Amino acid sequence: METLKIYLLLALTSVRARMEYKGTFFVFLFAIVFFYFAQLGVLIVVIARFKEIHGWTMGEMAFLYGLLTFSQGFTTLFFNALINFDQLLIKGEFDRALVRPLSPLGQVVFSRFEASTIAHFVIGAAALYYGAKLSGIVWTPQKALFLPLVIIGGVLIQGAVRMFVTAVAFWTLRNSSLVHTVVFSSKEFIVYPVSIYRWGVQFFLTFLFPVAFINFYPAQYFLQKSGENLFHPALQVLTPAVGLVLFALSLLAWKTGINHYQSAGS
Amino acid sequence: MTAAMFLKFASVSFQRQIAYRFDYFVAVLNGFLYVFIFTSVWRVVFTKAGGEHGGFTTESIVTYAVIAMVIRISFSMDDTALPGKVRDGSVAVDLIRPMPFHAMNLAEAMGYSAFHFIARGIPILAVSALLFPVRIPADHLPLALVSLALAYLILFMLNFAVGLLAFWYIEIFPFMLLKYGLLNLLSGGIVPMDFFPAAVRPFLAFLPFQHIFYTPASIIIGHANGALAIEMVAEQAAWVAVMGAVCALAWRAGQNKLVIQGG
Amino acid sequence: MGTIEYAIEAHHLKKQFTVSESGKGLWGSVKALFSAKTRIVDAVNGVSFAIRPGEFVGYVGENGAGKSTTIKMLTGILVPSSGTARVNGVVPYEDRKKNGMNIGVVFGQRTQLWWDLPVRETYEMLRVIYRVPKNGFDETMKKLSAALDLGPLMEMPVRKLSLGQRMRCDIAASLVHRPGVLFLDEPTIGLDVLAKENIRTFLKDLNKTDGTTIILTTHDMNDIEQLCRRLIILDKGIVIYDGATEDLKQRFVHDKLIEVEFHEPPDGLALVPELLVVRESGTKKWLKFQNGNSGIAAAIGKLASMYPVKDLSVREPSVESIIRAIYEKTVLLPEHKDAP
Repeated sequence: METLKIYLLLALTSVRARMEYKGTFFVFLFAIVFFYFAQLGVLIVVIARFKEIHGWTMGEMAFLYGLLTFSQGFTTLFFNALINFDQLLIKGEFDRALVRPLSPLGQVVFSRFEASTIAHFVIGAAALYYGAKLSGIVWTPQKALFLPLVIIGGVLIQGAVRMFVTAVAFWTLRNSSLVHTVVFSSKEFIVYPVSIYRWGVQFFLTFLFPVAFINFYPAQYFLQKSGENLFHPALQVLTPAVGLVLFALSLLAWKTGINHYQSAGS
Repeated sequence: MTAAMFLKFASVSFQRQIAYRFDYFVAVLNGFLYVFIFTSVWRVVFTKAGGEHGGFTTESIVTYAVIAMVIRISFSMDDTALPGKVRDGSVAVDLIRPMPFHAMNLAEAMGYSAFHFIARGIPILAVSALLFPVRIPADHLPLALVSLALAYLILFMLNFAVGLLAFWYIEIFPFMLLKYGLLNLLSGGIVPMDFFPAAVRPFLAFLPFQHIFYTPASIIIGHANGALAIEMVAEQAAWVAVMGAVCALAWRAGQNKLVIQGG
Repeated sequence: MGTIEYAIEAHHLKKQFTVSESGKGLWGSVKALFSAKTRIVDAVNGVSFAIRPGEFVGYVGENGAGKSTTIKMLTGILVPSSGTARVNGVVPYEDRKKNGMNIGVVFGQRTQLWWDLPVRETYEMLRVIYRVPKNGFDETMKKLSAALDLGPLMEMPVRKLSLGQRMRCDIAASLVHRPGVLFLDEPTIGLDVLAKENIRTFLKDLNKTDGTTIILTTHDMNDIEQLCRRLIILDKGIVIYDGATEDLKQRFVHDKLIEVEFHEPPDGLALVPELLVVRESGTKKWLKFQNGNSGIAAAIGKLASMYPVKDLSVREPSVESIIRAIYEKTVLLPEHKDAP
């Protein structure tokens, strides 16, 4: 409990430190919203033209996108500091985290709180709402209870992915293009239904790099889409479990990485 | 500024890119990933549409996706270098070098891009050609090369102009995000302009973005040819002139700012 | 924590780094993409020493000798390739949290202060991070503030501080939790003479009154001469000297140099047998005193009685000149034996 209070204070301090530049905050917010609308725009142009993508209508695609973006909002809120983690290593700032009586990972995570993450919530919530409405989801108590679990699972999966790629920086020092590929570009995969890809890729996104659990499988559950059960229908409800397992593994990777750390400088 | 100097700058910039092996291989993978995603999407929707739509066939749209992505990758530039120099004041050092600032920047951008063309663009093109039905007719090549060169200049000047905003704003990342958003949606790097609703297309024609990837890619694959292609290249040339003027004005204003602030 | 014999112990500490070699020129760098050439560097190659509580130890060596790497292993930043370290009985890289409570660390080149916030806020943060009780904290801060003259700096944002001011604040920050062991990595780097002097006075006092064990790396030999009673010299990853700073000077004491200016140029040869002429220029001569037994005073007396001396001064070798001589291998130290 005491420790949690310390971390919250760390986070608060980082927000306060950045408040010095509060003028740019709203510009940031606007830019991020714009960027994601542009990304969504690509999708809308394609669907408006072709009516559907592999049997997924505008509403269903929006719901798929909403699940991804909404859980990404939480992920960015908590794990954003990991994106530029290699800079902390290169500048030697991570050394400081290692000599303090707190978890190094905790210090990194709470060293930079990203307030502009609200942008994801705005877009994600809007996409979820209109997606659900357009596609006529029938809400049952089970579905309503499952939704937060899916979001949490999605956050854990995305958080774990970020932790894995940052842990790589302990070996390679520079990992920005890996972060780019694994964290940002790979997300592009799941903007579309995973069923459009070849079998090998479906397998990859389900079992090896299981980001399909962030939105594709649970979206099938919510939308009651049948006819394209990849692998097994049970996968549709496995998101929270996959999240927990992956997150535990990524913590392990981090622990291993720290012990391999070669500090910068002489 | 001599050609040798230009080449030296380009070559140093090229070498700097190689320094991190691991980053390199990941970056190749990253480019291919996008090719794979977009070709998959097109295959699915074109199959549903009966193999033909909006002047494209399944084959030509897949080729378009590959070519547009290879151009995008080959046109990689370090758009954080210029604002970085402005922010930390090292731009002042560049000013006293015996060569025009924009030429030096162009040399560095070209070195950077050359690396990404050779090291990422070509391998990705080769692998894509093996995996997908990529067909490039050869008869448009001369015009395609002109179009590519003009497209490169437009993108370079766009980056240059946005980078110069660092003279006036401490934090220019939001502007970068706006730029990326516009490029993703309106440059034809992902979706060709043909698929945009008819109502918005006239507005897009008033923007330079489609001349960055859509125009050269359409000419290369033969989607745009004959008089239309020549007209598009002429529009590109006009945009180069306009953007050039904007950059020159912005650069002059930036320099004044530098003098007033004393670096 | 009871009494422990050693505050810091290093047993055969080794640290190897893997360094990748990049090719030269355009073609070399292209080739390097596909053939990874790596080299293993022994940054620290079997370092052992033991430091008792309350000692003030200088840890010196040229760039790349392995100073910082050793400090990083002792502070828990790096895990040694082999060997063990113990600080206050804790293995630092195995129990980082516990170790963090016991030690203070100052990196001269990097601040631990929150860049955008007023100095006071950093101390408040550290109070919470180190779980220091409020009243104990107030007392400590009062002391530190008085000793380091922090009062006027407290409300300033860190980015507006001068290097010297920042270093004072940084040292205070490392002491908020009153650690028993303080690691200082180049604390005086880049500071002006006055700022250095202030910091030295403070550290000397801290070591004396609080009994804080201090280990200091520095390139400024004045730091060593004024502060460190014990000196460990590192070269290429191994300890080449470990002993009292005074002993090192004593060992070279027979190299005392006397600078004499005569009224008129004396006959060069037969001055005084114990004094060897090493250099001369006009009426000035530099003499090296050689015989430790007869005493330097007697020799000087003899010289003054024989010749009209206008001015005379005796120079002791500085630690800096000794260490430089050691680095340059113009002086060889006897084989160093490992500490217990």
